[in-house]
Amino acid sequence: MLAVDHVSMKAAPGEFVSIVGPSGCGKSTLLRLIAGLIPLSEGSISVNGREVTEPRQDVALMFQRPTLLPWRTALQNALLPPKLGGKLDAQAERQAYELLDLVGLSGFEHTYPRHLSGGMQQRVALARLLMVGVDMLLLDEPFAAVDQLTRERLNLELLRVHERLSATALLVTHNITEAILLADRVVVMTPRPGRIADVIDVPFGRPREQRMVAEPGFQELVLRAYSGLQVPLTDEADTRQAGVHGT
Amino acid sequence: MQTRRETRVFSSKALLAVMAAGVVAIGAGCGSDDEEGGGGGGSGGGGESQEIVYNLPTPPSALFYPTLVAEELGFFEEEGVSPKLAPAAEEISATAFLDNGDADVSFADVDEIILARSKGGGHQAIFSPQHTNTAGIVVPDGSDIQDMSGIEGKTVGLESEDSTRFLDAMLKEAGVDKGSVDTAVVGTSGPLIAKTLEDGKIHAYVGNASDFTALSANDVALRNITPEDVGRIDGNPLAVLPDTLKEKRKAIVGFLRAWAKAQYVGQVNREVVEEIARKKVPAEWRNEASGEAALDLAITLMKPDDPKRIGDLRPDVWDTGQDVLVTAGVIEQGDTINVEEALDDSLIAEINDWDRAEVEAAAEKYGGGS
Amino acid sequence: MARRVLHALSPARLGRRLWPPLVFLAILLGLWELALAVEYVSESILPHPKDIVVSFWELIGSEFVWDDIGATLWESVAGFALGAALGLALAIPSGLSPVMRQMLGPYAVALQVTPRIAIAPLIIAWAGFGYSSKIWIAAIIAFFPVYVNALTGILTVDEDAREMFRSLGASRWQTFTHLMVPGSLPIMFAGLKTAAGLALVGAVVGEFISAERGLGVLVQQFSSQLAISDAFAVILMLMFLGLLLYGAMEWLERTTVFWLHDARLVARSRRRAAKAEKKMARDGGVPSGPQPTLAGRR
Repeated sequence: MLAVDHVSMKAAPGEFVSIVGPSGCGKSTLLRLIAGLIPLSEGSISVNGREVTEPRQDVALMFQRPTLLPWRTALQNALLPPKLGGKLDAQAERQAYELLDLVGLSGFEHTYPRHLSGGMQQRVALARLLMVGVDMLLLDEPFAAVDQLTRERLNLELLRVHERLSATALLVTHNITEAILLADRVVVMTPRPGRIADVIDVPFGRPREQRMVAEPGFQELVLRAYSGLQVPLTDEADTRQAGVHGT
Repeated sequence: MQTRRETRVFSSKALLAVMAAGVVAIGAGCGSDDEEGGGGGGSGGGGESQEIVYNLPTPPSALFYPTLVAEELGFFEEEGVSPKLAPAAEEISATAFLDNGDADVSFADVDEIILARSKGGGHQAIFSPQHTNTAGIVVPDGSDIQDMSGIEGKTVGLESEDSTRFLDAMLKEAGVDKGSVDTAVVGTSGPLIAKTLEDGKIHAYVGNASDFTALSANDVALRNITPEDVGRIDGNPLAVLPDTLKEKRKAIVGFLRAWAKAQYVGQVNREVVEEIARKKVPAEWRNEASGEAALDLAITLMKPDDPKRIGDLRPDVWDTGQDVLVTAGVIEQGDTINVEEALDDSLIAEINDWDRAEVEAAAEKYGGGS
Repeated sequence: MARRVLHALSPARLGRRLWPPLVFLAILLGLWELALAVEYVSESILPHPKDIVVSFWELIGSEFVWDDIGATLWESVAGFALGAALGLALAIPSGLSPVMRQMLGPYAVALQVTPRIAIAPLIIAWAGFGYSSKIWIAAIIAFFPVYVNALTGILTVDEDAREMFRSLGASRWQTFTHLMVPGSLPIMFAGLKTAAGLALVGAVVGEFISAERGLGVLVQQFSSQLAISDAFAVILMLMFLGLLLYGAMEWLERTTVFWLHDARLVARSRRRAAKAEKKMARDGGVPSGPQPTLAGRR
């Protein structure tokens, strides 16, 4: 079954790109392809100049579910990457403490996932991700499972972290507002098979704030995204032939 | 940093670790064995003690008091043997123990030995301590039934399916049509036997003498109507394969000499045997009456026809035993064995060649004199 | 921990928890005595509870019974260990390799549904007449629950977690030890708890068929002597033995699968935090180090 067809895109270092679209448009698949978790049937993907063939240490994927190991504390979960990589030392531990502090979990280092809320667990997952020292952050609707208010808060924290790290971020979401608020560019995808319908530049300055959502320029972008979702740029009769390119 | 892909199906390390643990566990399961039961330990000073493995129909019990007494009074040690008991299993015949090499000598039934030989086996009986049958048929004391003829048209409880042939033979001899008799396997559970007799669900019971005595000791009055000729058949003769006898003759004779001495003690000094039984099988004395009755039974069963030849083999009795099997249809007339060939009494003299007075003295010494 | 035990045993809490079972027991005993009184059942088959208690007390005080208790206990524990080890040893390759699973699966099921009591004499003939045969029977009975549960545990590992491990570049061995093994512990322990009780059953079944000593042998001996209260007392001992084995497994589970039990988690958190504080105080100050770095940049 063809999940993603004719998708071509580039992301510049340090850029924050959102990918938005309804279910079934292949955005999660796209992330997994970039993460090296699914083999590519045609075409090529490269990160940092190297082709992606398998999971790499400079690309990290953050899932919807935090998937923390319940038998490890927040700290131990954050330390999972170095542990698996065989580099668990004092420096790694220090770094873990710092990252947990960065994501706002100072004081909860020795708490077990069972006693952490969903939002807190995702933050631990984020800290774990950052331990890897990645150039590219792939985020698959990471805050979908928490309530709206927490989600907004977490999104802004995510931006803070992104700023600090200067990593490239690819965020997949089906929340258009969120996609625009967080990103430098928004890629709009349509489903079956997945293809790019539009690419929207977001001219707002950083740091972003929640109130920017109310500005007129913002809502225009939202409308543009909606139109992109409903009407693909190619003719309906010809949907399988044309490809859409964006930069 | 992971740059190499793991290509094996599953890690051989994991598999090895787990299998190693499994092997260790299996080793523990195989290696641990019972301690010796009912038999003496090694000899004190000088001379190697020869090991001999024997099989009894029950776990250590007063019913087979000679092993207990022989160990306690040091007879095994004297004879230079260290016996090891392989307790019986219901589903495995005593002669099978010999065939499998699980025992050197085995206390079997007359039936089993005859059957084994009729199938071509070389088993032989070399010693027979019980000159009275352990199997029999009883009726409640208040019953009208006086002998086997009274069984016609009645219901008989059985110890097990095997008891059927014994019953059939007795019925045929008494001229009773076995088709008129109903049977039911009742088992060996004392309370159940008592109840079914009490309720009249069965009118007679074919089983083991030890069950009868246990019942009698617990106020279930019984009358034994076993026909006399059948009652004389040996209870548990000792079987052995000729090759084993040749190979371990010395140990076997030593074992039987010690047994014979102990058997004799039982005939002349009941008190000492009781003392030893209480010490070695305390579980059997929880019910005092049962314990006493069982010991009395054991001593009675082991009363030798000829006191000078303990364990003697009596061919006429074995002929009767074979007749029972033929009558019951278990052996075809054409497959009968030559009873003389099945019995080997060449060892009996040697087994009985010891000073009776010495043994009595040893027993008395143990008992604190009398 | 001592504090926790004391708290659990405090009169108020014990009282609340013991009331219902005690009341039920009282009702049961009442019915029992009633049945005897109206001779619905005979004394020679079902003794008075009081007689059973007396027998129990006397037997406990005797020396010989402890040899039998020891024998049955040893057979059960060794059989359980053996059966569990075999169950794990076969479950792991079956879980990791579909081919193995297809090979072993039918036989495991066949073994389970065959009445073990029919196989038991064969096992005795093969394994010999020492403890080994009883241990093997116990092991065969204990095998299946452990095998099935361990297998299920391995097969139902969290797919998302597995993907996460892959994304971190974990080797298959690492995924096995750090994810599959801990992840399957909860369900595996459920199997172990069942197996512990079954091992006792197996040991006793083996003793019934052929043994020199053990609680199964005692029950038979007492029964044939018509010492019925004693026989029941031994059955009571078997029950306690079973409770002991089950309790041991339960305790082991609470210790090993600590993350399912709130109280244990909280205690562990506290311990770790305390240890970390001590370590920090020793190493001097809050840990600080270079900022999180990026691979391939700076």
